[in-house]
Amino acid sequence: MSRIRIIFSKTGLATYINHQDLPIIFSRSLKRTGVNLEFTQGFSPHPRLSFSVALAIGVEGKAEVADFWVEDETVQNISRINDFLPEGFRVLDYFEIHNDFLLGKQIKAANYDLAFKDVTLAQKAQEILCEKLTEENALVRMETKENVICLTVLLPERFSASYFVKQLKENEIISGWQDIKMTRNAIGKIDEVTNEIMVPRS
Amino acid sequence: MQQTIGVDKLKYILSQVKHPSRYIGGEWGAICEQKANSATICLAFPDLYEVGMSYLGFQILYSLINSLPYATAERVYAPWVDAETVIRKENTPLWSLETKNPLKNFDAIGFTLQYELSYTNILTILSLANIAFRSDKRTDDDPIIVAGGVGALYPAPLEAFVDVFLLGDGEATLPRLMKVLKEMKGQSRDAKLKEIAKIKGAYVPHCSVLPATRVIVENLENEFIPNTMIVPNTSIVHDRVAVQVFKGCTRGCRFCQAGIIDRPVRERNSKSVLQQIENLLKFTGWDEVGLLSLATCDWSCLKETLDKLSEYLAKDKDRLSLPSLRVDAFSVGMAATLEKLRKGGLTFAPEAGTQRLRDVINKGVTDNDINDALTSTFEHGWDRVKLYFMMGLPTETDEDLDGITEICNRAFSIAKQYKRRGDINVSVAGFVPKPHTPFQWEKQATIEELWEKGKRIKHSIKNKHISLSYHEPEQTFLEGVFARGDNKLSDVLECVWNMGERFDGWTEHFNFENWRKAFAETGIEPTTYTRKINLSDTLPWDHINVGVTKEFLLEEREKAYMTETTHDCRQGCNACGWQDICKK
Repeated sequence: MSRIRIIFSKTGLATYINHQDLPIIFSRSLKRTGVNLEFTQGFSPHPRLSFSVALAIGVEGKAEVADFWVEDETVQNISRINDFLPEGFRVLDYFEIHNDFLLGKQIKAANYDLAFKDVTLAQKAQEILCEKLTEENALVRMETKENVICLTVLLPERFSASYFVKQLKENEIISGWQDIKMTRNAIGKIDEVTNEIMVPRS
Repeated sequence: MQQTIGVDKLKYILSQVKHPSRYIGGEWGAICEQKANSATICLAFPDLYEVGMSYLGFQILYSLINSLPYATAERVYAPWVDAETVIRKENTPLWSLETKNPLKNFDAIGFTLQYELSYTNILTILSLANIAFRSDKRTDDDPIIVAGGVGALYPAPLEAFVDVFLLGDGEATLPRLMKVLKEMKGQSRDAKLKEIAKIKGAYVPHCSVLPATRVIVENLENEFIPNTMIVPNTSIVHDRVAVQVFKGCTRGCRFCQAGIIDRPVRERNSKSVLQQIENLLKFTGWDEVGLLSLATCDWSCLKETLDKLSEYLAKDKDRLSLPSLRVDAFSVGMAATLEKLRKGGLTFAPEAGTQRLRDVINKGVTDNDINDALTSTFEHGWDRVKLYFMMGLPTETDEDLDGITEICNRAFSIAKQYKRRGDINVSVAGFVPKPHTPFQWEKQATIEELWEKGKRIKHSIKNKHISLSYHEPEQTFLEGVFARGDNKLSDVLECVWNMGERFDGWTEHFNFENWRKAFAETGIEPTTYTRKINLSDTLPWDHINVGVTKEFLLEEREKAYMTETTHDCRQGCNACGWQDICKK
């Protein structure tokens, strides 16, 4: 049995697929690819996969992470998975993991782009989010280029796209999700040397 | 031609609705490109995506049309009320899932009429597509509006809105319609409809020669076999590979419309079904298979198929979802070999509480059968059962209603004999007399009568392990109005739609007050359609020939009133009208 971690993107209209539906989408895609997943024990066995830190509906994911437990004889078939995914999904990389650490516990930070209708809104948004996230000791880095804020946050389960939208709505910068375009560029651990977010590879 | 809807606009709309994955398409198995110069049809299911994607008929027709070199099929489902509001606010025409093309760009829109309470959703789809409701108001720029499925066989309430009804097996009629549309691209709608009216099985109101006759595929093995299915990106009602093992039914239950309008029985053979299952599991990646038909336990190839199938499915830990069970011990034994885990419970449909009434409706289930089935269920280790009954059946008395409770109590005590929990879920539906059945002339129980009957059953159940559910009598009433209605109902439908009625089959949305107002405004008395019909009266569906003769239906009705049963026609032909074609 091998534990395989994938980095995948969820873009275009697939961003409107619920995070909770990802396990079933991937387990069927893997089955189509000829990759056999291990089954969980217990009363209701199901394929063993792990997705961490939900990506909110409507947010593009450029480098999302998931783990699968795969029967050894079928691991090599993963190379063909992009031929069997529904529209909007793409596996960018995959590698074996040789430890038992929970995926969720290894995701410490996330990087987002938030694009607004214009520069003024972006600047107002930056002020609010900077204040709130700093209060919570969750802000790693933030910079704004024209109408786009790029920020890195800690505790990504809590400081997620939903959090940003809530703060911006409360401060009347946006009226709802339709007024902002968000992309999650990366999730993972912050690399001590480069200060960039890296997906744990071991 | 209108422009396809751009991604940014779609995202703007979808950010404002619940369950946006209903509206995006892009599923595995969806074919996202229109063939050049092909005739295009948008298959339109008049309910939510989760319901429509569970409908095997559209999966088959989608595959079939897309396999034709001259045709392309896409899909659309009824937008939920929140999405309808946003789509209107954004002034965006309703789009097909595959290419995001406005529906008006298609050569045809194809609705399926599965349930009377979905009819308001048909108008929603037309409205959001900017297509006139009434056929006589449409222009050459509008698609041809097609409707198939069981409701096409009693089309009167929708005749004002539908250009052509396809009667019978879509596999037989739809390809021919697409051929005509391909050859006549650019011609006037009148010219197209005149040509379409010549297709066997096509009924174009005011144009077709009457009676219009239902068409069947005679030999399933010679027909199109789907090797692909669309796999949804979200959970749906029936989430599995589905294979139809036979069409038609031989049991002859007198209340059952499906059993009449899908005759004669045409079976697939075991090899063909197994091959289909193999191909579909491989293509889709689903881990569950369902064998579909009106009475899968009656399929002559069942045992042979199950023996081979169990081994095949075990390889990848795939499951077979249990077909609806016949009420007897044999079926339970079969279920036991399939379902090692005894999860959940088994479902049976005795339909009536006494032997007398079961004989009247020709259900063909005896008290012994019921006892054996229940005994076998609990003996094998299941903890609960679900039982389906009807109330308001012809000749029904209080004794029959009490019989329902008696059977539930019996089920519980059998469960206790085997030391099981004994949860008994009983669902009682109001009986709706349906066209093309021996009971098509019967009086439907009134709303008040159904409430009384429901209350009687409810108060007679003293055991807390028995839980009763019954359908809202107002919804049952409306189902009955539209089932046996005539073309005056199109005014009511339009009126009630304008009041905001949508998704009437969903209790949380159903508003009977609106319907009351609509009937009053249009001056139509709805109980006209639910009362007893004289045997000599002309019926609003007499112009549609389903192949079973009126004589047969009248004979069956008479036998019902004499509490005489008719045997399963696998045991000897009952001469329903199909005897020349039917090989059984």
